[in-house]
Amino acid sequence: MKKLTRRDFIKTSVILGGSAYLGGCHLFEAKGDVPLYIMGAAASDPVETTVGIESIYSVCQMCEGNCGLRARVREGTVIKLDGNPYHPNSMEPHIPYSTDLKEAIQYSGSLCVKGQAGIQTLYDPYRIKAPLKRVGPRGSGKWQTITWEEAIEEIVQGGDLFNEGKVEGLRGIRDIKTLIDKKRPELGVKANQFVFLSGKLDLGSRSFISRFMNSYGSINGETDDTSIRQSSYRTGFQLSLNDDYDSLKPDFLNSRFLIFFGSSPLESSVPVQTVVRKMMKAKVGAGGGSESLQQKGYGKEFKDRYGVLKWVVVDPRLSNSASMADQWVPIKPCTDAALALGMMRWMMDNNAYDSGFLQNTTKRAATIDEEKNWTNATYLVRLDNMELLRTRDAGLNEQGDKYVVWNDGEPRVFDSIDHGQLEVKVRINNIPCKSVFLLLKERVCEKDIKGYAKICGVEPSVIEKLAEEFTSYGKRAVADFYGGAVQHSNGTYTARTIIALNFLIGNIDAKGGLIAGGGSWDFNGAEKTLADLKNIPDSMKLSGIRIDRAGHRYEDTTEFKNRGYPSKRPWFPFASCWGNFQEVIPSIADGYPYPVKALFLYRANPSYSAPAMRDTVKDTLKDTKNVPLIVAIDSEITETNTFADYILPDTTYLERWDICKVSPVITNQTIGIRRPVIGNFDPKTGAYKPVIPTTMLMEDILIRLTKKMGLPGFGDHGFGFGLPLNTAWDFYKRAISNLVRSNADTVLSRLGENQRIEYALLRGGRFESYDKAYKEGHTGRVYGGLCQIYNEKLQKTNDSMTGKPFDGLPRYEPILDAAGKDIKDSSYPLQLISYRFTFDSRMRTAANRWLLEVMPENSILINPIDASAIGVKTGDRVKIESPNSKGIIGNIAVREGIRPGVVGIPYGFGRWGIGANPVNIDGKSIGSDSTRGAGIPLTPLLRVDPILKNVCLQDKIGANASFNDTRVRVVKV
Amino acid sequence: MEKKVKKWGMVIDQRKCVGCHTCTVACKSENNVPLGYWRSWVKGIQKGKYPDVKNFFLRRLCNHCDTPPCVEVCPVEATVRRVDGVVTIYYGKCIGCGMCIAACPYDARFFNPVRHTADKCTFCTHRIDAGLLPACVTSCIGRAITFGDLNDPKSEVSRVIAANSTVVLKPALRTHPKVYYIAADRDIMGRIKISEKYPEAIEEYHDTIPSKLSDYWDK
Amino acid sequence: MEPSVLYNVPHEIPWKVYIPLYFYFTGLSAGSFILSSLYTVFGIKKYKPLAFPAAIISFVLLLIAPVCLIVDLQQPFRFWHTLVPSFFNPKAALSYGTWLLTAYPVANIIYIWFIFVKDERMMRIMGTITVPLAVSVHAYTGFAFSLVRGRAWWHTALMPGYFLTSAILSGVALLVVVAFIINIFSKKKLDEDIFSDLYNMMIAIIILDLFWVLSFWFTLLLSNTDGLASIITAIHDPLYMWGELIFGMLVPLFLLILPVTRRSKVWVTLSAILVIVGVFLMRYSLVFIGFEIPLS
Ligand SMILES: Nc1nc2c(c(=O)[nH]1)N[C@H]1C(S)=C(S)[C@@H](COP(=O)(O)OP(=O)(O)OC[C@H]3O[C@@H](n4cnc5c(=O)[nH]c(N)nc54)[C@H](O)[C@@H]3O)O[C@H]1N2
Ligand SMILES: Nc1nc2c(c(=O)[nH]1)N[C@H]1C(S)=C(S)[C@@H](COP(=O)(O)OP(=O)(O)OC[C@H]3O[C@@H](n4cnc5c(=O)[nH]c(N)nc54)[C@H](O)[C@@H]3O)O[C@H]1N2
Ligand code: SF4
Ligand code: SF4
Ligand code: SF4
Ligand code: SF4
Ligand code: SF4
Ligand SMILES: [Mo]
Repeated sequence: MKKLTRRDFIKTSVILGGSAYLGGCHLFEAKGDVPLYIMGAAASDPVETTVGIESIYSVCQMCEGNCGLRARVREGTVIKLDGNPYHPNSMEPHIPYSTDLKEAIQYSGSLCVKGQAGIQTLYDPYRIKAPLKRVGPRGSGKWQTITWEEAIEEIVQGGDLFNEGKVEGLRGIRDIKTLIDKKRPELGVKANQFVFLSGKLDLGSRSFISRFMNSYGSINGETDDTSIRQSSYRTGFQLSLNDDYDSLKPDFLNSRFLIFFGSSPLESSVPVQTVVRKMMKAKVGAGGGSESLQQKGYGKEFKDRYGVLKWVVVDPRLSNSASMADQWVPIKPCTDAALALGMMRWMMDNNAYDSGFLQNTTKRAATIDEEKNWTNATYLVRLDNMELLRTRDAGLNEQGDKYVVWNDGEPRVFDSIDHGQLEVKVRINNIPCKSVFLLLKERVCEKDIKGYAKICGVEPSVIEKLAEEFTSYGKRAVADFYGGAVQHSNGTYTARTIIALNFLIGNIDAKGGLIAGGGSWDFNGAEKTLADLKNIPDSMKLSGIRIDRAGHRYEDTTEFKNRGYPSKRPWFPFASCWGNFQEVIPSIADGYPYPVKALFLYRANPSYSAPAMRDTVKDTLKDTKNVPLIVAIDSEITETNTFADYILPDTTYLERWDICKVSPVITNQTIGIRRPVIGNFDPKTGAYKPVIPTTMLMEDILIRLTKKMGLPGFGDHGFGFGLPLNTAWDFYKRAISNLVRSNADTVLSRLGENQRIEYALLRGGRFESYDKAYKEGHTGRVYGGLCQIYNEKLQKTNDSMTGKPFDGLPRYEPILDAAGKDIKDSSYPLQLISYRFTFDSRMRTAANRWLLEVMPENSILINPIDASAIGVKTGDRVKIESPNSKGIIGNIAVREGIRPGVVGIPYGFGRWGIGANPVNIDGKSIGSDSTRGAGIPLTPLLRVDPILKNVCLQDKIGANASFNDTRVRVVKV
Repeated sequence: MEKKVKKWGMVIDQRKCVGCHTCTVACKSENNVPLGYWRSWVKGIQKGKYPDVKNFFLRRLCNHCDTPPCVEVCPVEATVRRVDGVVTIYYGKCIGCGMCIAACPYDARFFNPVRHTADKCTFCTHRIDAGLLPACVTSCIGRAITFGDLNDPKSEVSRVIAANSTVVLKPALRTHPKVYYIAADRDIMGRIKISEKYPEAIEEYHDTIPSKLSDYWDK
Repeated sequence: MEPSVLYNVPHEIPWKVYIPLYFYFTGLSAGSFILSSLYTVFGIKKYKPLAFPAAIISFVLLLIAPVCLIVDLQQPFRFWHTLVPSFFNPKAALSYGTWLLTAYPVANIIYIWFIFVKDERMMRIMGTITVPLAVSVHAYTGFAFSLVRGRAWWHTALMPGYFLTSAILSGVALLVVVAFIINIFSKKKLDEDIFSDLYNMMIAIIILDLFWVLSFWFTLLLSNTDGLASIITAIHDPLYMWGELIFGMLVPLFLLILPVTRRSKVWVTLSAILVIVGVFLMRYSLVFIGFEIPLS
């Protein structure tokens, strides 16, 4: 008998899948519960150095970490994924960029468990293999396969597509002259009624979609589902620094003390593998892994034993990060700001803050102190209107609108002096004023430590010790935070409060402090010498209001003039760059601020990923009146796109191009290039055929649509006369060319343009040399700007639902609904939180056998105290009920590692799409795999906003959805 | 000069292990380990009482024993210990009697349902013979695993063993494992459950202070 | 607070029921062969009528036994590997076992031939050669277990003795049943003496077996935690407690001693059947309790 290796299984199954489609019968080859290809194999795989093995460098996308990967490819089949040793995410120190490719083979960087399992995502038997068009009403689960030509034609031209009457196509909807509503001109033109909702985007695809939407003329692009979780985190940074800096991270290797609020750096940081490696190195010491082979070059670094990092984790659940921490602080959910304020109280009481740093008024002052940043702590705020006092109002000689500080008993223009006084209460020109710092101090002192302790459920002595320790490492301490702290209705306030903790010890841009990372190179073409990718010359400028109302002030609208507060749905003036993912479908349902005609879903799945959205998505999208045309570009039939009219099969991350930047965790200038590691690429034409030949790159799909519509900026002269944009490669080649051209002072400068592109492609990106990370005690890229303890703009903006101003200072606020009222739900005794394990890849988990196998099902984590009150033990089946849900059945896991009163459920299980349930294609029922549906779906349990009723609770500043504010009840079944 | 024979060994630093299962999946991918079977896995336990609770992990694989019970029992010498210390299986020779699986004191072996032979971690012989490191070593995100030549005092693995106190699993069994652990937790090294079948007995069981067990005896 | 397991990978048990069956059949075979040899080798005349049927039984069982073994192999067609001299592993009990398993049936069939042709001298010579083979073909399985140092339940010097004793016990019990059947169907009734001898033998061997069990218990109870874990697992195992100990030994013993039942051939045969089943359950629980105690 011929032995089949698993790789052969994969190959045959994919080929079978493809040809089966061509034969017009099955789309999926999975017949029973266990698809063929994962049966294991008889032989070990060939290694990197085996003849006939190709090593192709690309970028992982099993999470947003963008780690460099190296794919081992044999005869067109990926047999193993490893880390790219050139890429700083995957190896430390990463090998020099100039290293010969042959030499590089002996080093393997790492990928985390999700990255390792990526092959299963690529060869998932439930991937869609041809364009699908719905048969019967939306959501009926019945599909027919159509050709790409038919799909493109129908989507662009419209017509009576489903025997339900005429549907307007993209061409018809694209009216860039007529206003949606003449009475409300601010809404913009009718083309805005085309909405593009996307999931995770990297820089390249984000630019591409921008270009597409710019060309189409709709303002509703780029709403990224990252917004759902991270936008309050990012908005918090933007409102404390500036718009260009939406994330700073600890300098892990040089820090001495870290506090993590609501994040599990060892399980779910981005990128987790890099953070783990750095933290372990900093805590225990260097060594291990492929690095041990790499003793030359960075000899000293290798020998260094660190072993100095301590950390504390603030989390209601004992995460692995908390378990390995020096201290676990099991906080009450949603109260992180109270804990931070309690720490600040101690700092104020003990003068334990960096007053030198806080007093600096300008860059010049900071530079003298060898600092990179300065703060507005000393700036004066006028108490009558809460604006920062300007010179023109202060009666100072100098006119204009410069800020004013108080020094030596007199008001001074802020840039005429290096230091101001921190605590000031004066009347200037008869205007009552206080310094920002005094306002902060008064805010902090509204409660004593006991008061804060009571709110957050942490002992006062713990808060005091935490503050004392935090302030005893100089600038080498960081208060870091992520999802758990901000995914609440009070998210941005909490973010700003924790960021202010860092300001108080002046650790921004400091070695061992909160850093901006190594940054990247420009590829978009902002630099003059580069080709512009995003913008199309001579095309109209986008205008109007986004459907999610992100980046717009309610007060600027006709609606406000007519009816004042409250607005019908909230407006999100501060959520500009990330949009508001969870608002899109509910707004479509309400036709607010305008009705939508076409919706594109690109790897976006709000039904499953957005809290409490299952019913809203179903009710809204099922009805063609709400959105006449829905097109999904995805690799699976998900919970959301099951309501689409068309599903266009996209490729996976191992079969696409992109430009991928990395988190500030990386201290070197870095950019990764994602490229197809398999499939057929023709470098002459740039055409690419993926593994399943009937799937298509998202970019190629959009290009075909634009060409059909004749949109500007695409086609034979897309980039200008004679410069085509006919394939994704035309776009990415330009992007890479930009990338290797900007500031080419490395090995690259010696090469010609095409050689440079090839050089970067062969190494998976462009990477700065490891030893260039720090310059004069700071990371290469610094924020170097004003640290805004007080944000005037925030304070001067009103909440569209209450008409009251937001708060420009750090603040603790309980869980509130859209109208600003407390949510009590007191008949539900437990608070539900969610979290991820390292081996949990969110939506991808259930479709990935290797990940699912580690944990086939999630369970409800509960403390023994609560468990015994209910009378349940580990393994029992229970029903979990919330105000939203009559109950979901699941397993219970009784463990000491969670705060009493809180229950936790890991996200990513209990799927009802992606092959967990059968669908019907071309009249045949396609098999399903019930293991994909195992466990508890979390989001349908989460709290609906009692005012808006079709959306979850949310943060009206940062636009974060609330994941952890739902109260539940657990009953035995 | 005569080249000294190598003796491969591994150190796992549990202070750096975050229980992420990367090694588990990397090994599966590298070695085509079928679903539901593991050459390498990570045991995890939780100990303590709220709020003084901790999780502990123990990365497990074949120990490549110097006096391997699995080799002792194989009736056809399909399982052998190579001169470099790697305990490996000649798959073509193995009759699949399961004796080695029963005899391994570490539960490191299983029947591979595709190959129909015994299977286990091979220290990635196909990689180390090509001069590369095992897949789990290069992929460990905590850099908790060090691999190398124990006969070379200058190798990283030898230096790590020299500089740290290490333990091996079940040393009393005279198996002389070549997988060393730094800072492995006492409880996780032992058995937590008496048996999969009798949960009542399990909960009370503790490796060195067998409360329920001593109850049986005391009463 | 006791530790709770977050994850672990308990591996599957590599063997199915064929393995205890195999042990069981070799045991039965060895037991019957020894009984057959009582006349042929040791010259005890009254057992002459049993010599032939016992030898036949032992041979037939021997044909089934290796089948069980082979069926349980993952690679049954590679069974011949065990007989390749260069593959021989001097440390492995199984290596010896397979050779024994080949030699024993050969000797056995020759021996049967001589009984059949009534060549007393050759019968004795072949019997003398075959008895140690029969003993070792079963004892080696005991060694195969006792040499597994990682499993306390198996790793004891008592194992080969325990194995042999229960093998002989099952052999005697089988003969009791056979004798009972012969008595019913054949015209020439068997000597009552044989019956009472067999009964007494059963009593003696059950008591010896119980002695092993007791030794087992004491050593394990006073050994390390693995030993304790084994005992607890065994106590919880109904097949072991009720099957092997109570219905496999104590009840038959009781029936054999109690004058009322001892006098009835039906009762005694019933207790012999219980013993036969009990010995199988002993093999079964011996194998699987060993696996049930997790090694990590
Ligand atoms: N392994 C893995 N890593 C990932 C991802 C993945 O899918 N898998 N996804 C990536 C993405 S998209 C994101 S957004 C990030 C998210 O990264 P994180 O925000 O770090 O993710 P979570 O694990 O969901 O939440 C962190 C912790 O917050 C705790 N928590 C919940 N509520 C509260 C609270 O009110 N207060 C405090 N202090 N803690 C609370 C939870 O118990 C959990 O341990 O992870 C990224 N990294
Ligand atoms: N209760 C609860 N809910 C949560 C969270 C939580 O912690 N708790 N976390 C939230 C967070 S932070 C996030 S980021 C979201 C995560 O939710 P998502 O970001 O939506 O999850 P993903 O796994 O990225 O999958 C998104 C979509 O991409 C598709 N897809 C996967 N690979 C490919 C591909 O290669 N090409 C294409 N075209 N499509 C692909 C999938 O089929 C799916 O439709 O969930 C949010 N929801
Ligand atoms: S951290 Fe994210 S990007 Fe990096 S290897 Fe893991 S899944 Fe891939
Ligand atoms: S751990 Fe088990 S399989 Fe590995 S060498 Fe030792 S006895 Fe053999
Ligand atoms: S299963 Fe194979 S390797 Fe193991 S003892 Fe039997 S023949 Fe040897
Ligand atoms: S050495 Fe190789 S076979 Fe062994 S556990 Fe590691 S990856 Fe698996
Ligand atoms: S990969 Fe490393 S850190 Fe992760 S579980 Fe394995 S040994 Fe531990
Ligand atoms: Mo996210």
